[in-house]
This record gives sequence, C-alpha cells and structure tokens, in this order.
Amino acid sequence: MLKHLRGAFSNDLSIDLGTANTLIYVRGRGIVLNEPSVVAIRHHQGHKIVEAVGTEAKRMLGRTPGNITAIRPLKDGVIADFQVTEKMLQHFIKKVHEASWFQPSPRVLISVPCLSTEVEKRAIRESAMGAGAREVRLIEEPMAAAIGAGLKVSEASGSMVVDIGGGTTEIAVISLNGVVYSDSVRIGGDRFDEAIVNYVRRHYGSIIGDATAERIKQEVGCAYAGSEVREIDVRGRNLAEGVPRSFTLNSDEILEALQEPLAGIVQAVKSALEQSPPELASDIAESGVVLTGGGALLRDIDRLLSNETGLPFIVAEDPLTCVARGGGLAMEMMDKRNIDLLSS
Amino acid sequence: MTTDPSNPEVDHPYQSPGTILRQAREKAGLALDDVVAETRMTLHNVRALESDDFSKMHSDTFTRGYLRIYAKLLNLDVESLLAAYGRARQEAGFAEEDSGNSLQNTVPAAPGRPLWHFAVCILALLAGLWILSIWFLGNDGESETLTSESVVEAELVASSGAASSTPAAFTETAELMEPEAEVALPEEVNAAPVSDVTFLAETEVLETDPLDSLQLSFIDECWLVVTDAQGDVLVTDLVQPGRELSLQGRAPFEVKMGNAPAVQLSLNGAAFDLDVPAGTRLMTVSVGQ
Repeated sequence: MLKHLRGAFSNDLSIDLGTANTLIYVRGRGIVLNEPSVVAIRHHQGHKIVEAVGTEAKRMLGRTPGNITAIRPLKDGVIADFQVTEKMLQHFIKKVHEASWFQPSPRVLISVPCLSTEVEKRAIRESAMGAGAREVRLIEEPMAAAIGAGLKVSEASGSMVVDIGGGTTEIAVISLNGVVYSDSVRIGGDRFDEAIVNYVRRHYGSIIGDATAERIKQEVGCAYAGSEVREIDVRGRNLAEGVPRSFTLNSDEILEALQEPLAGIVQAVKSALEQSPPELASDIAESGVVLTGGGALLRDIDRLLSNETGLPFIVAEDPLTCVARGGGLAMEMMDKRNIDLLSS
Repeated sequence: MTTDPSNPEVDHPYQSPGTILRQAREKAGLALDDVVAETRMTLHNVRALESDDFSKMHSDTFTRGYLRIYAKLLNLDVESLLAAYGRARQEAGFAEEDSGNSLQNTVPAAPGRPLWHFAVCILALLAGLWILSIWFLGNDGESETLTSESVVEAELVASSGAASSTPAAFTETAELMEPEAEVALPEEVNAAPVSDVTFLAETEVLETDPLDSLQLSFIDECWLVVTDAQGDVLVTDLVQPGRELSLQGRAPFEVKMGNAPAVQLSLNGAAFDLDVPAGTRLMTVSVGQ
C-alpha cells in the first residue's frame, strides 16, 4: 500500500542493466543516468559496506587497497552477485529521484539477454524489487534495442538487430512485435578488452589493466582491415623487468588482437541469417541490419559485418542508449496500446 | 568517419541530399553498381536516395544509416548530409512519426514533473501545517490550564508555609497586613480569576487551620524571639517601641525578650502577666502552657 503511495511520486523507469554500463531512461525526461556497473565494497570487521557506485567506483577498479574491492556485479549480461546488484540498483534509483521528497517506488522495466534462464530472470526481478521497485517487468534486450533504434517492430516485415553489449552480443529477428529468432553469444566489449590485454602481454611482454585496454579499444580499435591506421602510446608493467615501460600500439595490431572475438560475432550473425525464415530473410536483405550497443562504436565494425554477410549494416544513432530508450518507449507503447512486448 | 567539411556541394544550403550524393558520385567517377557493390545497399535503395524518394525506405533509421554509409564512401561530411536530409524531410512535410525513437530523447530534458504532483505536495503541506497548528494550540490551552493550576498550587504551598514557618506570615497590624497581602499576590498572573482563586485558597487554609494568636506590644525597644509549640520561629527581631505584633501559631509559645519590662503579652485576647522580677531585663517565658 505504502509502495503504491510512494509510487505516485516516482517515475516509470526503463533500466538497461548492462555488464559494463547501467542506463536509466525516465519517461518524458530521456536518459537520466549512464554510469558504469561497478560497485566498490569496503570490508570492515566482517561487514561489507558500499564505498562507491558507478563512475566513482570505476575509477577505483584496479587501484584499491586490500580492504576495498571494486567489483562488477554483472557478468555476461546476468547477475553474478545478487546483493551487490541490489545495492547498485538502489543507489541508481535513488539518484534518479534525487529531487523527490519521498523514497522512490517506481515501476521498472529491465532488459534481459534473450537467452536468460528463468533463474537469471528471477534474480533480476527480485533484485529490482529489493531495490525499491513496486513493479518489475522484463523485456528482451534486442526487442528494446530495435525499438530504441527506431525500427518498425510492429509491421509484418522482418527487422534484424545486433546488440553488441559489454558481456554479450544479442542477435534477433523481429516481426509483428515479437522475436522470431534470437541468439546470444557471450562475446562483447569485455572480451575485446581481454583480447587486447592478452595481445599486449604476448607481443610486448607487458601487463596493462582493463581500463587501459578499454581506452586503447576506444581510441585506436578497429574491426576492418582497410581502415585508417591510428596509433596510441601506452604504459604497462614489463613482465621481465618489473618496471613500467612505454610502448606504441597501432590499430592494425588491435585488429589482429580482436580477430577472435570479432570472428565469434560474425559467426553468430551468419548463423542467425541462416536460421531466419525465408520471407523475413528477404526483408532483412532488402533493408539491412541495425547495430546497437557500445560494441557498435568499434570503428568499422559495420563494414566488417557488411563484407562478411553481403548485407548493409547500419549503426543506430546513439547506439549506447538504444536499449534504455527502447525500454522506455516500449513501456509507453504497452500502456497506450496494450501491446505485450515483454519477455515471457 | 571520413569527413570533408570543405566540400562545396555539401555546404550549399539549398541542395537536396540526393543531388549532393549524385553529384559527388559522378565527380568520383563511380557508377551506381559500384556503389551497390561497395555499400551492399540494393540498387533500388541507392536510386531512391539519389532521387530524394525517402518514402520508399523502410524507416527513417535506415535512411539515415544509408546516408551515412554513402557519405563515407564518397568522403562527404556526414553531419551536413544528414542536416540536408532533415531539411528535405521538413519540406516534404514528413510526419515526425519516428521522432519518438529519435535522438532527441537521449538528451536529458529539464526534470519535469506532472503538475498534480506539486498540487498534491502543496495540499499535503497545508494539511500538515493545519494539523500542527491545531496540535500546538491544543497544547497551549493545556499549558495555560497547567499554569493556573500550578500557580494555585504554588500559592497554597506558599501560604501554608507562611502560616507555619516564615516570618512573612506574621501580620503586624492592619496597615502592615494590607501591603503584605498585596505582595503575596502573584504578580506574574494578572488574570483576575486566577488571583481570586489564590485568595480563596489562602483563606480556606487559614480558616480550616485555627491557630493561637499571640499579641505583643512594646513600650520600649526590645530584642525578641518567638517560637511556637512546633519549634517554628515566628519572629526574631529588634522591635521598636510603640509597635504591636500579632503572631499566629501553636501554643505554647516560647517568648525570649531582651527587654522584658518593655513588653506586654496577651494570648488569644487574654492578658498574660509576665511578672518580671526587679532588675531583670532578659527573660524567657512560655505562654499558653
């Protein structure tokens, strides 16, 4: 009862609970929060105390003393640490309702990977309820991404969306407000970072952190051989000498480093195309495929997929926020037109 | 993203995106088939783009995506081309059916809240203030009542104390008694009913507790200490000649006089013979035994 009363003063939220970033979309206000899914925990006399959440906690990753642990509570798109996820969500929901006089109790729509198990979905639902939500709905990530990217999901025409997130890549063929085919591979931005760390260790005998690997990916990373070559200066700890050393990496090297995860994504996309019903495959061949998620920002990934599949791949506008925006729009559509877009 | 901001075709404000693309393609010496081979778009879509026939496109998302791919191929400035496309759409009178999904929603708008939220908050605030004021007023009434009661209680204590032990209780004469009674009035409590209550209470106490009365008159200066049966000291003073004292207390009174020949005593109106031996000044007698 009290939750419903508080709910009158809360906004409806669409949450993209991602492995790398959590985004929150509020109806009528747009994206109001975009922070890393990182929580710093301080261990004090056997108790766990939340030290920092989001951007502040991410700055602590790899730089914490013994009694503080900066952790990512989500792994491969699903909850790895239930309690920490709950705390993180609680913090974000509170942050979104900073101006409110009452403790928030919003209706929440959360996007989940399309191949999530019932246990994983339940964990997300209960985590959000524990964080103060009064009602939790789940939507499949590619459906939210397609709506957020502006695809006409309600038409009797096939649309294909590839959402490259931090932990997983979701591929789905959508028609008539439903997912006709979907697949999820555990390859995403984190695997790209990991591949860069491994490459640097193998070829330069140096160790770099995840944050440095991410910076390299964002600044010089590319997915296509014909792309413009860029360089970056990096400092890492030399394994042989044990001291920090500086070296230069170029985009061709990063392309080489990313070959394995990229091949995994290409394979998954080809597989999805193969398994699409012929009529929908024809629609997709005519219109093309939309790329969303942070991975879509990897330079020339659209060209790579286009060359590999022979279809036009287009990167959605502001691909990072497509899922959160799509979730928000889905909520509106469901309220206005009573359409069921939810995950079963 | 390859850009060429200096490209004059793109900068021209009145050129449609189709014209810009066609001119750039012809300038680059590319055939439509080359564009199709490079971009993987269908020939149908490439032609539609060059002829500004956007209605044939699947959706605005795809049109924008195709324009980006085509612009990159021809080294055109993507943003300028998209701006030209936006103008062309406006001129063509396209309904903004896709605007709900467009980028504008990603920009955090000013935190707006439904008006009724504010109305409810203000009403709740007013109701809260009203309840608080009622509570405070109720408390004030209660405290006033308590104050009156406490004044009465205080007066009762003071009067009983005065009657029994303190020098303030002794009433010298009628003219001395009046100012004493005025002093005994609670100065803080100006309300007439409260004063009445105080007087009544005092009177009641005096009436319900009949005491013995000891009158003393002095013809000369005399030091005097009077103690009653309960051991309360009623007076200890150097009394000037010509004065008369009337003390209330329990008999027998022990009267110690520094100048006994100068004192005349009477108990409850009856004269008490001191029988002072000759040459004796200091004397202690027990009156009313």
